[in-house]
Amino acid sequence: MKTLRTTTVVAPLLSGLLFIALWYAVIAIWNLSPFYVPPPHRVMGAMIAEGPRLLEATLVTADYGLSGFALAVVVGVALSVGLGASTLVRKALYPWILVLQMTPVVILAPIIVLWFDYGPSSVICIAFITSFFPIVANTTLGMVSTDPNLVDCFHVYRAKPWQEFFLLRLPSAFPYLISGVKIAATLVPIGAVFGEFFVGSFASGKGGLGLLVFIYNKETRIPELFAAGISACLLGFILVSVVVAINWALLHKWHESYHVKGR
Amino acid sequence: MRGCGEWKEPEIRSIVSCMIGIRGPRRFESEELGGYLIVSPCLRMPWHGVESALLARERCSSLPADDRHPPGVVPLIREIVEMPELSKQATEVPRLTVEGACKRFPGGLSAVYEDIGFTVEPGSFVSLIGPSGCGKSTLLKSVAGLLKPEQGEICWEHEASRECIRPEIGYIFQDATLLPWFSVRKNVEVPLRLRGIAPSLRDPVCREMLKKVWLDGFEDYYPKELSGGMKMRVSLARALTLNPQVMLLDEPFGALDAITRNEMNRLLIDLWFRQRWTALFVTHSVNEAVMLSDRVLVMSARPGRIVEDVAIDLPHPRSEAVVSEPSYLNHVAHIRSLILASSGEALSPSQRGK
Repeated sequence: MKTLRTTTVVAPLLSGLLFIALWYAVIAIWNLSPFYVPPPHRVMGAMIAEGPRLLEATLVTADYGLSGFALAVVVGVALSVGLGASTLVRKALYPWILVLQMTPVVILAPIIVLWFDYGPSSVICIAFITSFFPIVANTTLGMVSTDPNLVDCFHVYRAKPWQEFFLLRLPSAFPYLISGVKIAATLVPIGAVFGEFFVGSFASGKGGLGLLVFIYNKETRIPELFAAGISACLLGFILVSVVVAINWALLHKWHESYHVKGR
Repeated sequence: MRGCGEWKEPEIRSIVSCMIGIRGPRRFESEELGGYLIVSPCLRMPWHGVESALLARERCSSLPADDRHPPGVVPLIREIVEMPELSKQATEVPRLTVEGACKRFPGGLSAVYEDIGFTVEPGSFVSLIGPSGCGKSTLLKSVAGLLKPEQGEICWEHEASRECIRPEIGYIFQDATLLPWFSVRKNVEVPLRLRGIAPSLRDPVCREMLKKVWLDGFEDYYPKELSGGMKMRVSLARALTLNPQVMLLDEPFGALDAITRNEMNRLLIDLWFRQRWTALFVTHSVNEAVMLSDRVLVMSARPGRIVEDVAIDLPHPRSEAVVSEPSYLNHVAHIRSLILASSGEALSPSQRGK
């Protein structure tokens, strides 16, 4: 237990403190201007001063980012089921999904805004596109990676196709699906913030972290810019933590990645 | 209580259909009995007459009170099960006939196996042995209906009607093939669940199967917490839940250590001796084949053909002492020489016999 606490809490804390020390050291050694590289205490000060504004913006970003993420999970899993079920469908559609993923979102963004107007729908769409592919890629891999012996076993016992799907293929794909969702969770804040940066404020005058970044950049408020970045990181961290918790709940009893404790 | 002769023929046919697993468990009302007869596909083996009746009583006792059967039902089940013509129809183990079977995979240069012909009598234990890659596992999958041969015929022949039927098969793979996300109990009940059998009927069957393979107390463990031998026992228990007519085993104990392997062989032969399903057993071990089987089919190297059908004339049950008997040693030596001659190369360590 002592070793567990050391590795999961103390080690990252120490490395974080080391990083902050390094930050100060770099500023001192190279005599960097605080305008360009604000020291950690100025960033912390900006976080406190802009706290309420940052919190409100983070909640807006979280709202639309999560909507895009939820859509990516639902559409991604549904599409993966289809891709996994049919080789023909997979060969027909997968290259086009790859094309969509490879197209830079900076090119897609103006087209999305043209179709969905300046508003939350565009932000949600951009967050969806950013997080959609890892879910599809991983879940499809999971669907086609079912142990062939288990498939044969189900055929011997005369399983119906829906039984084979729900009792075998879908649970078999869970580890892959969760892995894809974890990756997607790290990309959601990136997509949502970029979308807000591009869309600007909504008709209601509300704006998320992306809008704050735009404003701080225009006003060259560098510590506040760093503070906004840290807020986006924290949002991503919370999202990933939730996914990790779901991962643990679904898999800890049976998956090989969780060590067996003595009975 | 009505005797068997007083039930209407469609009722009896319906009950028998249930019992051979064509339909799921059914409830039959009888005004004269004043209650229900609940029949499950697990109740069909005549030599399980007493065991089945006890199972039925245990199963029925776990049902809600308003479904509790009248006292006369259990003797009625036994009576129907042991009716000569009906129980034979319900429980007969078919004969396996393979004629001229040939299997080639797409893009393959040569056939995996060809010109395979043999029969397996109901209730016998037959081993398939041969060099690696000779098509033993492919042949076993073809017999199970998982693969279709390009030529020839594989038929599970019903003795009375001479028709090809699809028997109840229990299949054990080279690895345990357990669902890692299910506990031991849920793994064992998978075949019952796939047949739509209610949880209240599944539970006593699973408990009994786990007791048979010495795994009572491990119901809530997950596969990752079990040893290789324990996983294989769960696989065996699962294969037995539907009271199979046929057991197909593809080198089930190949990955186990020698001590566990001997234990598993003893368990397997004990279960076979009591339940008398037809067994087709693929193995690399000559000693194992001779110890367990009534006959050993020796296959040649790829494309696999049956080189010889060796009858093992040792009486059952066979104890450990049989390994020092001259007839046992002669059989082992003979089969080894056949494998050597057909493969044209040195035996692998597993075929030298452990």
